[in-house]
Amino acid sequence: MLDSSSERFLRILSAGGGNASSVEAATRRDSFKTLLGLAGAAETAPIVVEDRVVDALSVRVPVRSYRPLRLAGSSEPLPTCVFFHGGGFVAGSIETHDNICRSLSHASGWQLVSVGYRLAPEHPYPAPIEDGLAVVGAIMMQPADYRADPDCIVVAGDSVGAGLAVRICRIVNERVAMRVKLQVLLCPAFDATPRFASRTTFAHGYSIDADMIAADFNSFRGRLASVASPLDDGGFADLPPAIVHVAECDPFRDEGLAFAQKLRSARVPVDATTHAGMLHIFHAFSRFIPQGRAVLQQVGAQLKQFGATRSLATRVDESAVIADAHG
Amino acid sequence: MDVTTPAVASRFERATMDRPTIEQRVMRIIEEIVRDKLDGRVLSTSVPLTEIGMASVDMVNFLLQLEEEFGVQVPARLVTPANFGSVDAVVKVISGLMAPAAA
Repeated sequence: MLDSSSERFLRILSAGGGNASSVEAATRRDSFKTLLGLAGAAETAPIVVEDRVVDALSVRVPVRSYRPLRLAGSSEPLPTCVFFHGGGFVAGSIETHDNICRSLSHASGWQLVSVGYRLAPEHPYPAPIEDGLAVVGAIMMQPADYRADPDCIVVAGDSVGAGLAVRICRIVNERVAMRVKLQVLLCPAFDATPRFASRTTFAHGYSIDADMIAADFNSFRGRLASVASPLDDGGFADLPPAIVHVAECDPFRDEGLAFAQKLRSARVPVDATTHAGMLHIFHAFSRFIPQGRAVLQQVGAQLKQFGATRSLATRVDESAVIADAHG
Repeated sequence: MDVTTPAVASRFERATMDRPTIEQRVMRIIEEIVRDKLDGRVLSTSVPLTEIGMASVDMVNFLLQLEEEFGVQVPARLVTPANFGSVDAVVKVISGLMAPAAA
C-alpha cells in the first residue's frame, strides 16, 4: 500500500499534462534533471568535491569524487564506492545525483566517485559499460591517484545504474585478479522484458510507466536484438556480496528481490530490504518522501559497517511476493 | 510577545490575505513556471493549466512554490487533477487551507 507521502507525490505528478515516454531525449533529460532538482533535498554536509576526467581503455569519462571534509587534510586511502546514476540509460548525470552522492559520502565517511557515463540513444550498449569499466579499472590500477583503498573498492547504482554496476562487477571479478568487494543496489532495474508481477501491478501511475521503461531499454540495446539481463547471466557465485534496497510500489521491485535470492542461492552474502509504501528511486524525492533521506542514511551506515568488518551478514526481507515466470 | 516580529507579521499577513491577493500571487507563480510556453497567450483564472503547458514536473514545482508562498502544506487528499486544474480551483484550495478554521 502506498505511503501517504508517496501518494501525495504521485498525485501532483499526475495533475500535470504530457506523455513523457514519447518525448525527445533532450526533453526527457531536462525533465529528469528538473524533477530530481525539485524533489530532491539539498545535502548541506561539508563534502569536498573534485571533478576530473578518467582517460583509460580508449575512452574519456567525467567523474566527480566526494570526500568528507574532515578527511580532506589526510592522505590516507579511503574506502571507495564507484556510483552509477539511473535515468533509464537516456537521462541522468553526475549533476542529477549530486545530492545523493553527497549524502552517501557524508553518511558513510567513504569516498564516492560518480560516473558520467555516455547516454543512449546516441551511445547505446555497450558504451555505458565501457565507460564504467574504464573508471573502475583506472581506480583499481592506480588507487593512490584516486586516494582509494585498493582493498575496499565497491560499486553502487540506482535503477538502471544498479544494473550497470552489476554488469561491471561481473566483468571485473571474472577477468582480473582484483575484485570489486561489494555491490550496493538501490531500486535496481535489470529487465528489458517484464517477467515479474510487480511490473504489471505497478505498470502505470507509479512515477515510471511501462511504456517509458520499454522505450528506455530499446534505446539502450541500440541495433542489437536484445541485451541479456543481469538476472540471466550465470556465475552468481563469482559476484561480490550485495546490499539491495527495493521499494514496495516499484515496477522493478520483484527483479531486485529475485537478484537477491539468486545471490543467496549461490551462497553470496546479501542484505536486502523492502521499503513499504515506497516508489522507484524514492531516495531521489526526499523533499516529498522523508524515507528517501532515511534510506540514504541507512546505506551510509551499511557501508560504514562493511568498511569496518569487511563482511556482510545475509538478511533477506521476503515481505514482497516474487513471481518468477521462468520458475 | 512583540507582534511586530517578522514571523508573527508573516502569519498575520497570511491569515488576513484576501482572495484577490491569493489569486494574484498564484497567477504570478504560474506565469513564472510556464513563461516560455505561454507564447503570447494571456493566462486567465479558468483556463485548464494542462492546456497552457503545465507538465508533471511543472506541477511539482508549482506545489512547492505554493506551499512556500502561502506557508501551508496541501495534504494528499486535496492534491487532485480537479483541484490543480485551474487558477480558480487552486485559489479555492489555498483559501480553504489559510482560513482560520483550517489553522
